[in-house]
Amino acid sequence: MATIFLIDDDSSIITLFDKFLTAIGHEIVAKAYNGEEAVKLFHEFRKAPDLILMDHRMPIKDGITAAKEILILNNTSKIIFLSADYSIKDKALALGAKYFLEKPFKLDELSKMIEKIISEN
Amino acid sequence: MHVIALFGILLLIFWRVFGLIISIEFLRDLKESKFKILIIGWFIWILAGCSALLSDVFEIQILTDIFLLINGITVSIALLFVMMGLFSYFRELSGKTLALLCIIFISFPLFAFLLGFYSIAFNLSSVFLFLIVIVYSIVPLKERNTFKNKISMKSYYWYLIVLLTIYFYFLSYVIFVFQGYSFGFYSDEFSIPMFVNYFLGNISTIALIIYSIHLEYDISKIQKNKLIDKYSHDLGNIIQVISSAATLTHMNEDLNKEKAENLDLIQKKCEEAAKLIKDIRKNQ
Repeated sequence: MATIFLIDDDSSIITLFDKFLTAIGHEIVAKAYNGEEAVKLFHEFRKAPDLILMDHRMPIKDGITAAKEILILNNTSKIIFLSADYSIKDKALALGAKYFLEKPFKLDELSKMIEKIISEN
Repeated sequence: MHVIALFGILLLIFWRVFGLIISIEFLRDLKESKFKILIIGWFIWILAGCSALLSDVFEIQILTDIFLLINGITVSIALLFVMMGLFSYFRELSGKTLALLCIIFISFPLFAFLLGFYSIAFNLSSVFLFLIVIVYSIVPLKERNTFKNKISMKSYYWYLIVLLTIYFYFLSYVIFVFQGYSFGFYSDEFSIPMFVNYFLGNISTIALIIYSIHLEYDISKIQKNKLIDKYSHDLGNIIQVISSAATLTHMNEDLNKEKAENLDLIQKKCEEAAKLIKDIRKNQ
């Protein structure tokens, strides 16, 4: 089981990922709807989540900027980018994201990726 | 006016009309405000050509000089607008700066003309013209990586060709003026400098038009990619929601066979749509 921080500006996606990840045994510790909110919430965590699922194209602050700031706060944070912006894949991985999943993807792919990261630990 | 000068000016007007028509087409197709600036530029440049022709129509010297003055001023303002239009997607010039430059370009030669310094008045416009070209060649070359990222390599090479032809034009102009030839080369007698002046003037105008056509292609490509990017992103998110909702519903063990088959169908179609989106992105 992993503790997961969900970040996406689409509330439907947040709701569905929350339901799915909870159903397969993970714990959603927080949800944020833009990059700025994500960084702010990350500041307030007593214990960093095992995984951060990050969208890119969001209002106020995008995923790449938010990920950079989160990694400055905690460089061991494991970030998986879940984005429909394939063009930012290289940028996301270069800055320290663990994986990049291009939307739309099957939920199975996401669960396999999470299992992989947990097993790496 | 010698037939070479007359033919050279008429040909220049023809290219400028061509440039104007292209800019109007660009504005209609791409709806980019920069083409309004280009239209103004090409239009003033046509007026400049007409004033050059009119300078030879009247027998009265003062009228000839006035049209030559108008020619000098309009050419410098026209080039400012055309260069500004072509480079505005790279570096914007504020309305205030443009207005200030126009005032300088008009008032300085006019002031010199009113004081009776005709030669200075005509050549001042050429100096302004030269300064515009220097500024618009130094800035993009100084920041060439940013500049090259904004346009295609083809456009970049045409930009260099434009610069090369304009610099040749100016260099020959300066040399000939120092040899004693007068502004505009509107002499009745044939001379090599007259031919070189109009030949290079026409070549640089043609290069400028080709460069603007390449730019139009670049801008339309950027617009197309932006649209593909936006719609594939938004559609990707929508399909993600449909596909995820279907998967979650499928996880419910109470589903009867028919509902399960329907969900399978939704998921299958979502996968096909996802593949289509990825193909569109690849072909961008």
